[in-house]
Amino acid sequence: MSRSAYTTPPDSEQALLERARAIAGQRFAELAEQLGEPVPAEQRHAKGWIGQLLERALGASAASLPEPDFQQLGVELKSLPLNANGLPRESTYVCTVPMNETNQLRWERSWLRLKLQRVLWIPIEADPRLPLAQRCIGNALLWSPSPGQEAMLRDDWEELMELVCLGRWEELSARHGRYLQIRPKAAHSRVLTEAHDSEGNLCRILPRGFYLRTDFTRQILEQHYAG
Amino acid sequence: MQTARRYQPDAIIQRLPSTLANQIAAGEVVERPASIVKELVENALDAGASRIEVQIRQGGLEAIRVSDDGYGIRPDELELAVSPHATSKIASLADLENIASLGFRGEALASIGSVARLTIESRVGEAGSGWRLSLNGREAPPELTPAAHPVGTSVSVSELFYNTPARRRFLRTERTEYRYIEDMLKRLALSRFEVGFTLIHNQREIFRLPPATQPAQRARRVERLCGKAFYRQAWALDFAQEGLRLSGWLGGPQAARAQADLQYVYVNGRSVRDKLINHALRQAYQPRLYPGRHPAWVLYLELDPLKLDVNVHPTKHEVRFHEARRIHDFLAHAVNEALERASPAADAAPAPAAGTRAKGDDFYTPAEGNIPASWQIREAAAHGSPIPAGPEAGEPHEAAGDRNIVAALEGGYLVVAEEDGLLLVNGRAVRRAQLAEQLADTAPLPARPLLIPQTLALSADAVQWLEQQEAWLASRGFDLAALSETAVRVRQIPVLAAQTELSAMLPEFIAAARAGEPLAGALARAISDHQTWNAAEQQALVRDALRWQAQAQPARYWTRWDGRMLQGLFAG
Repeated sequence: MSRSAYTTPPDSEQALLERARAIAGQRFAELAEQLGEPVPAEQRHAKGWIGQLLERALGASAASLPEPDFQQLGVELKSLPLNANGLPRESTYVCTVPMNETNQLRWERSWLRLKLQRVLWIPIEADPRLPLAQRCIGNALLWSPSPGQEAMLRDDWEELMELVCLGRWEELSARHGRYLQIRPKAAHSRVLTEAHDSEGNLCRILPRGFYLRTDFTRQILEQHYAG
Repeated sequence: MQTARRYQPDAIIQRLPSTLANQIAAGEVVERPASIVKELVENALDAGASRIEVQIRQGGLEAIRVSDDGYGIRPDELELAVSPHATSKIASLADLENIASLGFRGEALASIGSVARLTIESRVGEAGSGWRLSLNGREAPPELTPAAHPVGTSVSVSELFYNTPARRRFLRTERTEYRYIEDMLKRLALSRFEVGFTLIHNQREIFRLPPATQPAQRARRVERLCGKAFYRQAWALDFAQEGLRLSGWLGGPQAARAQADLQYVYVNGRSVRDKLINHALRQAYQPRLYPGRHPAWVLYLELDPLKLDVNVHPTKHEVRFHEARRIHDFLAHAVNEALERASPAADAAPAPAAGTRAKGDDFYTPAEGNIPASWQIREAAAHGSPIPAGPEAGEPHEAAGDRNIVAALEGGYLVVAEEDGLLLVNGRAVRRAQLAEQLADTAPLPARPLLIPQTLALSADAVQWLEQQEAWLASRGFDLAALSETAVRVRQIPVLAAQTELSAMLPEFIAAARAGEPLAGALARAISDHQTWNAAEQQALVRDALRWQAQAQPARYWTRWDGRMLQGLFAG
């Protein structure tokens, strides 16, 4: 039963969920074969490959950065790698931290909040002992933060953005934020971006990203899945 | 621009109303929730408490409650405690000293009472009952009523700064205020080992530190508060010279941190953040550190109190030494020596010599005399530590009525230790009965998707049979579909089947049902035989076992051996 990638994005949340349901339980080898993609031998590059594979399988619109993955629906796609115990393996990247133009920034209009308004979570097996081709795709969950969850995220965001605005980069550590954290984006450690230091001078630092801690994603899983 | 006020020669100087005066004064003491907690905890310590519990809601912005088991405050002193003119009611210096020793400083409570709603409950040992004093704003007189309270004092503060909105606006987010409180309590807990501290935030227990009188307990507290990473590679230090003593734990250079957030220094038991001290310590570490890294330490400096001015500023944690340069030299020297001894071959052979590893009871004892004149450097108990990672972090919360389940045996038998014997519960039989009841009911069962749908290989007959039962299975919360003639994919299961080994459970259910067993019963048996239970579920099983079977015979769900029966099991 071969199938090609969707060329059009889903026109409703229901249609999106149907597509997600069709691939739930499949191994990456099966899905890759259906889409005519080879499974990379190097597992190091698995992350990007998995993301693209899922986007193709679900018909996500082109990945232009500031737009949600399913633009018409306003839905963001997030894969959630799980360890052998079915718990999130790592924190989840959400978006970059605005380095400049941080004045007048409000939670209501923040990029972070926008990105998390509606998320299609797709748990995926990511136990490193399991070869990539053998790993399974999980049941998708279409999710929005509850008022309580949004309040917690907002609390963290306010705290973190205060340090960002004041240029207190060296103090920003994984310790700050209970569910949200700011970390340097590891991908390009050579690319520096402009920011202000604590004296208000312009400086160049590594770009930072907002990440959801596993404490947060674990809660989502606990609330919606059978253990 | 402000309009200049015209000088009025006949205006008389007026005394500030007491309310305002108190609010201004309160600004010194009550800057934020953490400063309230600090005042209250220090009061509790002064009252000789051996356990202090701090409960806060929303970073202390919503409510703070500090309970202790100290001496308590007598009812007649309760009113005095919050009186805005506390000092005027004190007749003599002797009275003042008395009050200080009774565990409260009038000022602090009066200041807090002027910016928040305040309730004090207290009971003195010999008094028959406790008393509650409520203060709702400065204008209303305090209300004193009898109240049930164990010996000790609880102070509750709510609606902080309700009457001073300007100050309220200065407060940060709940999380920030919470961290100030947590940090402050950590600081106190690291100086008063003999006192137990508990911190509860939004009804979640953050830490519960039992009183630590033994060296191993103290070490465990340091590990708990400073983290395993610090503790594993920290070196204990105890050095004395010419009336100065420095002791505590030094973090190795390799464990330096990106920020200076693990640097605790105490001077004569008092937490300080002092420039001179930090400068000396950093100087000692400096050649061993990468730029931008901050070492970690927990250090106690003791010296003759006469050589020290504490409280240069009440909120700044600064001290002034009379012989500043000598102290600086002493500290830099002590730490430098310690680091050199600690890692003489750090570059060449980082593996610590196993034979010299210290035991937990070698740990520093703050109040002990007999300071050896020589250096004593020891590695803080590392791996293979005699200190169990133990119950400290999250001491088992035993709900009332919980049984002491000491083992869960293969086959689902739960072994419960009792006062004089053993109770053995047939967990699977109980679980089967629970499940049969729920599954037989025709109401739809709550169901949840599996994280990862599971694909099971079955016989063609079994797959066919499952397809025929689809309606019933769906009504019980299962979502499964045939993938091929010999494979099904399970997407969703009823919540009651969580933590079940599906690949074993389903074939067994199918076999039993096809052999003629009623569906609900067959499913109940299959689930109960392949499910794992957490602690709470095990407790529920024991509870139901005892509820469903009143007498020892016939033993359907449990059987028991009391002391006499155990004795009879053995010869002689």
